[in-house]
Amino acid sequence: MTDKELIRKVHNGDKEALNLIIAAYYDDIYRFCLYLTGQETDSYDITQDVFLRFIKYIDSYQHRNLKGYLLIIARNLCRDYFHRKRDTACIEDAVCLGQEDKQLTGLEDSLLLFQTLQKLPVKQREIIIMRIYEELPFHEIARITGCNLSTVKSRFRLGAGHLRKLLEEPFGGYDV
Amino acid sequence: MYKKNRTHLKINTAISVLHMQGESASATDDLKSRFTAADRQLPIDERRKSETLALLCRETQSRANRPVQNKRLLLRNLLRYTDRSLPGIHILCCTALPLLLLYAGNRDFFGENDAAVMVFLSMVFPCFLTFFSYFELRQLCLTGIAELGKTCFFHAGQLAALTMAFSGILNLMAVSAGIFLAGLQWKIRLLQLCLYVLVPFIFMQCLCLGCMLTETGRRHPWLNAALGLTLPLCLSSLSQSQTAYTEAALLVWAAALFTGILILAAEIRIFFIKLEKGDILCTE
Repeated sequence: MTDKELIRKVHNGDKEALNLIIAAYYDDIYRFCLYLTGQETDSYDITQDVFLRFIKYIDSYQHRNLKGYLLIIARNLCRDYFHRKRDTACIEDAVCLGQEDKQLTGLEDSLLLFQTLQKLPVKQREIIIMRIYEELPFHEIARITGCNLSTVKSRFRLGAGHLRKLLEEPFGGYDV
Repeated sequence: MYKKNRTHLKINTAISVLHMQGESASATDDLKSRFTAADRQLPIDERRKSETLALLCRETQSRANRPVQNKRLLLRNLLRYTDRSLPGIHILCCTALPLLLLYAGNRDFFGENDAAVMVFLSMVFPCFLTFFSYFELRQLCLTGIAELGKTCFFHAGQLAALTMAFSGILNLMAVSAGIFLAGLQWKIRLLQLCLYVLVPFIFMQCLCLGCMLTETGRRHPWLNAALGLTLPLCLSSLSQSQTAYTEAALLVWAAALFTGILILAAEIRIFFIKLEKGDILCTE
């Protein structure tokens, strides 16, 4: 079933269509938020908010690409989250992911990736996640982030180089 | 030799581009594999997922239960509760144009120059009407249209489109009546007169909408008024020219009309995009 048909069915209150949307996009959106924020519980909350906002503003939905649209909402909510966090917590809080979180304890590879990602500036991080993890084309990322194509490409190049360099260092450049 | 060198250069460039792409793809593959490995270690909490689904179902249900009036009723209510003073004055002005032309035609106001003066007036009057239309649109956009949209189920774009269509139709009716009457009265070819009247009319629309698209223009309505004065001044200087109104110049007038329509279409598109994004509604 195409995205357009799904949206039409959701408009008509079809719960099955909602189920299909959640099944198709929940994991991707959650992981996007998780890689971006580095906080598991908060990422679940943000993902829930993403889908609630999608339903709330479904009447004005005009995008051709549903995943792209959900990623725009997710990115904006993550930005809001960072703004809220900026006043209440320092950046180390985000890096400390896994130490408080039972599910992540001991998962060294994923923890290393999370910690290293958090060392990148948000603007580079979101592009790295969208390009490498979500495998979106550059022009789609440019549309989602509202930047021009060359900015996206340069941020990606810088971010990927930085990430690779950090990952090559022992423990992602952290003192242990 | 030069050609051969160029081909060689092109092949080399293509090879280096392919090499770079391959290199970046393999580098990305390496990072991608790290993400995939991390994904495997991070199972999704199915309980949170089903919680979200249940929440969405509830939200959809509550949306379905929300009472929605039919569109005809909404339109009737909108007409009943909106301020009718500005559209009322607009209608009066629109009726005044053909009446003025009729009256002037019967009384032979300007003697020998009667036809030229009346053609000039029928060019200037639509400019005034256009200025009025954009004043209405400006009032609509800057006086809580977004809040109104929330209450009466018509969003900002629909309300702006409705206002533009209403005032546009009124203006066109007045202009058509003016063209028809002036053409009949002074035996001027209708197509020719159409061009003379529509070109300034369309360009005035472009100027006023262009003004609406800038934040300074939205803040200061007098800018629109200044434009409303500038165009007739330009027209009056144009009317002094001997060649501007000859048959040979008709092609230039037609080209100007076509260009004006294209510019206006582009501006209308930008206007609705800006309205949708909230740029216009958020002007202080």
